[in-house]
Amino acid sequence: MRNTRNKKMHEDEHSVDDRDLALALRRLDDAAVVPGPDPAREAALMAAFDAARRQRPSAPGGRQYWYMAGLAAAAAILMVAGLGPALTGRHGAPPDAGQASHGPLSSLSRGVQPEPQPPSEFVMVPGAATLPEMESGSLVRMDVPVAMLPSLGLTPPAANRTTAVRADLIVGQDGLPRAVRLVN
Amino acid sequence: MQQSDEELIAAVAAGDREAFGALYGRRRPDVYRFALHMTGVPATAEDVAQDVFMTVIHEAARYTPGRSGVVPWLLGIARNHARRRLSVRQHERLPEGPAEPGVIADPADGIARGQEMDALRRALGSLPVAYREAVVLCDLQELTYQDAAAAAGCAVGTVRSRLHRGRRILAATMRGERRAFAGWPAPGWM
Repeated sequence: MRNTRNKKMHEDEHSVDDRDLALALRRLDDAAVVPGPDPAREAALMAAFDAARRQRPSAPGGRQYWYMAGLAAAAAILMVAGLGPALTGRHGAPPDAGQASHGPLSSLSRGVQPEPQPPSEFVMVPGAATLPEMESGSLVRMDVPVAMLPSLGLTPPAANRTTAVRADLIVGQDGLPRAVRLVN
Repeated sequence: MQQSDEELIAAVAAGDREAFGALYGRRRPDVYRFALHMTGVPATAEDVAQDVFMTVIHEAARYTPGRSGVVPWLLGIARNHARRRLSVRQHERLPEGPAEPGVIADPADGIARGQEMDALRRALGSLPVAYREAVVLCDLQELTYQDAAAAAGCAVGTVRSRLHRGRRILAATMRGERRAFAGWPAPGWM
């Protein structure tokens, strides 16, 4: 009986506490005075906004966007074409299977000459900074036409007379490339 | 017709200067009040508000409509800046009472009421930061649990438990204060 009464008193006390506390906090918030904006601070913000707008790279134009989308589509097709036989199991192992260790990328580069040089560093694709933040993505190895390299931010190799070079692309969750590096 | 917060943010991300000015004018008070309750210092609250809108200039494109409202998003940014500033001055004493120029007590309520409001402000300032955030977001800013969770970057259940604990600590502290003020004529806390 005493325990029940004590518990009830405790609950009553908490209930009063909550009510009083809520009231008190409301008063505290009401008493908070928000000063008007400081003109100097506001001017500094607007100046920072203008500066950021000037520095902001222009959004990828329609042509560039469609070019990147096309590149992404080509990468996707290449992935499907490369992985398809392996997934369906209709084809046997390639002739050089077992002769060299194959990483995840090597299955995409079947029938391509081995790389004699280490890959270069990844560079950001122009316009990638304006794309949505990359939350997930994939690494795609593909043959890129030399003519496309400048638009990817890469300099075409002078000594290479071929029409395409091997490159790794980091493709975001939206299918658009974010970074690229030459493999050889 | 007045643009919504979401429309303003989208316009800011697209480089619309007027939209930024409108968003600043509309939401600076919310950010300032949050920062004031978190830090207890008007000058720091001003700095935090400035930091928040400086961040908005560069990060407006990161706002995702539907994930949270604009106010919780702004308060989430404010929370980070306030925490950073709190960690810098963690060994400083919180300002006390009437000397605080940004928060005024109602003179009609008398000295005792003013004293108790100061006590509540001190109690709020002495709460662990995570609990203080929950109390400020839910009880002072009156955000929903969902919005408070979005601002605090945690689960709704976490907000509820932090709020509960924060209130309990505040209540216990104020009970002690009330006993200390027993000689004063003011009934209750306020």
